[in-house]
Amino acid sequence: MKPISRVVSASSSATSATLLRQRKDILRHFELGLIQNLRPPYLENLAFSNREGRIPIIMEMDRSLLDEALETLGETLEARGLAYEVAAIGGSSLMLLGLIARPTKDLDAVALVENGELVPAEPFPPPLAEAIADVGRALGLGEQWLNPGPADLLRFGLPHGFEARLETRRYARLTLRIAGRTDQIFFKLYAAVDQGMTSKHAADLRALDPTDEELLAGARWSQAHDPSEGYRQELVKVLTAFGVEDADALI
Amino acid sequence: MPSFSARLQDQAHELAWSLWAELGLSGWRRRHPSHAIDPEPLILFTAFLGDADPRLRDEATDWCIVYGRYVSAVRLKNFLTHQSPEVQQAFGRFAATVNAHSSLRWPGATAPRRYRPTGRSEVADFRRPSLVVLRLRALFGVGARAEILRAFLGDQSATLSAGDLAPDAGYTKRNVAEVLDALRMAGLLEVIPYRNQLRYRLAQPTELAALAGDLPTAFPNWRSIFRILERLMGTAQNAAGLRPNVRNVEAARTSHELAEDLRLVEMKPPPAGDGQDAWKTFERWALAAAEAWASGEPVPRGRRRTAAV
Repeated sequence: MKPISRVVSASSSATSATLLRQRKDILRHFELGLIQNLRPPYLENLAFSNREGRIPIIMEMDRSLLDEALETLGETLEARGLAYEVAAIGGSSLMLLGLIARPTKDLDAVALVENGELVPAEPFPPPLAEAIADVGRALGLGEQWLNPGPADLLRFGLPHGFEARLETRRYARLTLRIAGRTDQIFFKLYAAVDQGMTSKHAADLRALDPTDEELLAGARWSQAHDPSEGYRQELVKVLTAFGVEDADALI
Repeated sequence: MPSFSARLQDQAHELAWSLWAELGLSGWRRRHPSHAIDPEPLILFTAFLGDADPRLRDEATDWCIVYGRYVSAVRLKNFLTHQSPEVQQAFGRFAATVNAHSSLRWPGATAPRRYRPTGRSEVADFRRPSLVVLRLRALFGVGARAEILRAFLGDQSATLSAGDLAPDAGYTKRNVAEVLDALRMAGLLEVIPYRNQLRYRLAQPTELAALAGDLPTAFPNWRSIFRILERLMGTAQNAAGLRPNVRNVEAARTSHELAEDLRLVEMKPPPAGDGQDAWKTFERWALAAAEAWASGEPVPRGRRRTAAV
């Protein structure tokens, strides 16, 4: 039997059948004592959602589940007479672009788009936040599956030409503007320097197969966000690990 | 087969008719002879049901005109503030109609509807177990005192603070605290200091129960039950034109928003169905609850008698 942590991550290819399998796995783990503090009333309604009185197990999303969530969100917004445009970056958006395949926990919104202008996403407007949470509860994704986590990037400055490189996906009344590959390289380089070469960000950066020029451009942009010498030293290490020769002299 | 929305509405009307029949309306069936009726939440719920059943609306209005002196305007006002705009609007018309035909001054009144009192409402006395709330008001007056005693009679071993009692009593915490102290002074309650709270329990439960007369077996939390039904009816009505995935979202939203009321009536939220089953599961759960409430049977998974209907 898989350990419980893997049961959750197995949802990366989640379908109804997978969910049922996972549910059975969790029940078996409980019966074997591998999960503690699971009181009997909860077992009756064991479900992959975080409704009150339920076990808050948050699924990871593969491409199809993410598409389903976005489609459902767009249709929910439509039913409520709402419409939003969201600019997204990060692992989930890379998955939507077909650039990576790893499952993700959430989709990062860097900004909202209003009248063609990028505006801060944090906090989300309450009707949007409510719709996201409602969809998350219905699909067992948690209430923050789409969140404005990296909204500070907008405040400190997005790469030049970011808006022109956005790719558009429409889901009923939700318009998703996905950062282009070049911008994603910048963001992933910044995150990889912050979290190290063993992080998912470094893995994502590898999957994007950046050129030296792209990495160096990303390095210069990221130094505008963090001009410290400590950051520069880590940046040089990461660039070197990605095969950029004489990185120290080039940035 | 009637729609989910129509079936829920039928059950809601069944429930309202049965409760009003306990209060003296000429209804077909009384299914809640052992359930304490709480008039103010029922009046608000009846106003919410509104024009869908004109006879219920008019007979209930008639009852309120005749027996409105046993209804607390303070409770109506306090409960009304926690109601949806739809209920507030519906009650405004209901209250205005009652006020126009009586000396009552119910809160939130707007414009009265055209109405002629039927004069058919009649309750000989309040000795039925289900009318314990009205009986207590007749004994102790319409005010916090009667509501506090109702709560203690509903669970005679309970130890309760002013904070515990105030929401359902429908009076301010300060008012409730003053009455609790007065009842302690009278020897009816005893106080147990607990951390920074004063908690109270009945000092002479047998004597109080004897004075109160025949008691019902259940003291349901009607405020929560009616709020749940109102929300379910709204969801059912809005869901008719929605796509299946959006209906599932609305089911999840409704379950989430009802969490506190479900907790108060000790019901679990609907089990989560997988995929397209989620809405069907929600429908089944909602109808089972509504049918149980309307029939006076125990609600599925109810545990304490305060929760059973």
